[in-house]
Amino acid sequence: MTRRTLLFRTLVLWAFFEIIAAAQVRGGPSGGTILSSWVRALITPPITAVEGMTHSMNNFVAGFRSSRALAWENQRLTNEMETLKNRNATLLTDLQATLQAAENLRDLPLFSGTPARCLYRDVGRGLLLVSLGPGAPTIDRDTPVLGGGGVVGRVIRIENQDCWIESLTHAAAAIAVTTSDGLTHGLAEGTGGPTLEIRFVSHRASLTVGQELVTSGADGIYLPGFPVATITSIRESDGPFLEITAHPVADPTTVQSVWLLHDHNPTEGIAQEDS
Amino acid sequence: MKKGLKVFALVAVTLIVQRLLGHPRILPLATAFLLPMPWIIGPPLLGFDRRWYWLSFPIGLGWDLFFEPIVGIGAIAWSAAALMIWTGTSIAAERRTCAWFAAGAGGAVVFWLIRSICFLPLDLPGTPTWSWIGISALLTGVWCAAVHTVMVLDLPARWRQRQARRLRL
Repeated sequence: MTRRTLLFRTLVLWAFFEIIAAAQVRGGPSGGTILSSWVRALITPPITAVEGMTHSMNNFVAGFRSSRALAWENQRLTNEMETLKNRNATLLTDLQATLQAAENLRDLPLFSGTPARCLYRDVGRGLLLVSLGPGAPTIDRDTPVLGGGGVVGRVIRIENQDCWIESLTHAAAAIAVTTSDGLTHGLAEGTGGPTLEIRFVSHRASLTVGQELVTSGADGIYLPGFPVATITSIRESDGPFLEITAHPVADPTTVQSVWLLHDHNPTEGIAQEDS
Repeated sequence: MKKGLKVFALVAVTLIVQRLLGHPRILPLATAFLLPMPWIIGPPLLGFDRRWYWLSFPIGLGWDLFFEPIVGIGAIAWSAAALMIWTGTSIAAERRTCAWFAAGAGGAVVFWLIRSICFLPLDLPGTPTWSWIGISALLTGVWCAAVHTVMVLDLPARWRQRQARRLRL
């Protein structure tokens, strides 16, 4: 046995006997053996370190999750802000169009209505799609539509907040018209093109080119007094009526904002006027 | 009786005598003698095999059983003294009685110092004073030197020679 081996074994035995001795002595704050306090002193730092690391890792993960949630929330708010910006811009455009439409309707009789913005127009079919926007009142079918300084048409279909409007120029559209003085009555019919045909006007009617025709209210849909069209040509025919062509005051191809009338029952309006 | 068993029996007797030295009617300084020390310093000084070094551990455990409040410290202290002696004898070739004295005194100092060091982390009382360590070293050295002197005198051989001389006359 070499001296180094002897020394090593001696040291091992010393450590063993010191541990044995420590296991027999009671003391320390907890009242346990010295050995248990030694073991506790040995184990506590790693446990504390592991606990600290675990705590730090949990905090890191929580922070990372919070940061990720914040990033998502930030992205969501950014998108929402962009949406609101676009909506705001749209509303601003609508407001400008509405103001323009109101400016155009300044000379019309007083009425109450709901503004709407034109989303889509089909000139070939004489149809317009308008949007009422949130919070709009309920719109009924056949509600008259004003815009561009005169009558645009009537509502033929409602889809939530959107309404399909049949333009005056639609081939199947017709509206009772009269002259401003109320002496001559007729029926303005759509042609499917940009003009209207005024029918059922007798040869004796005193009409001139450029004269404005307004709604008479005789059709039961439109309130009386709103501009409809301006006469562009008058021709004598072999029939009992004149052949009159008119151009609508409100051009459905350029109108951007319209008004949907609330009180569109002509009989009620007439009754109120009579009273 | 086998040699090993005989040694252990003698060690036990030594420890018992050491215990008797602490009797109230005996001089208080008597406990300063470390009677088992010759068993520690003897093998290296007599040129025994190195395995005799391990005898210090059972001696220390026996010391613990007789004189210490806990088991383990005596084994460390006695083996430390033995280690010192074995190391010292491998360096110095002195084997005379004065060497026994020095080894005994040095072993006693190492014993008490290592015992005190081992007590430190255990927070136990019983650390001796420097004066006690000095007295113990002196007395233990004297005890070891006395043992060596007796061994050198070889009294049984002298007795046998005396008996043979008387028979021849």
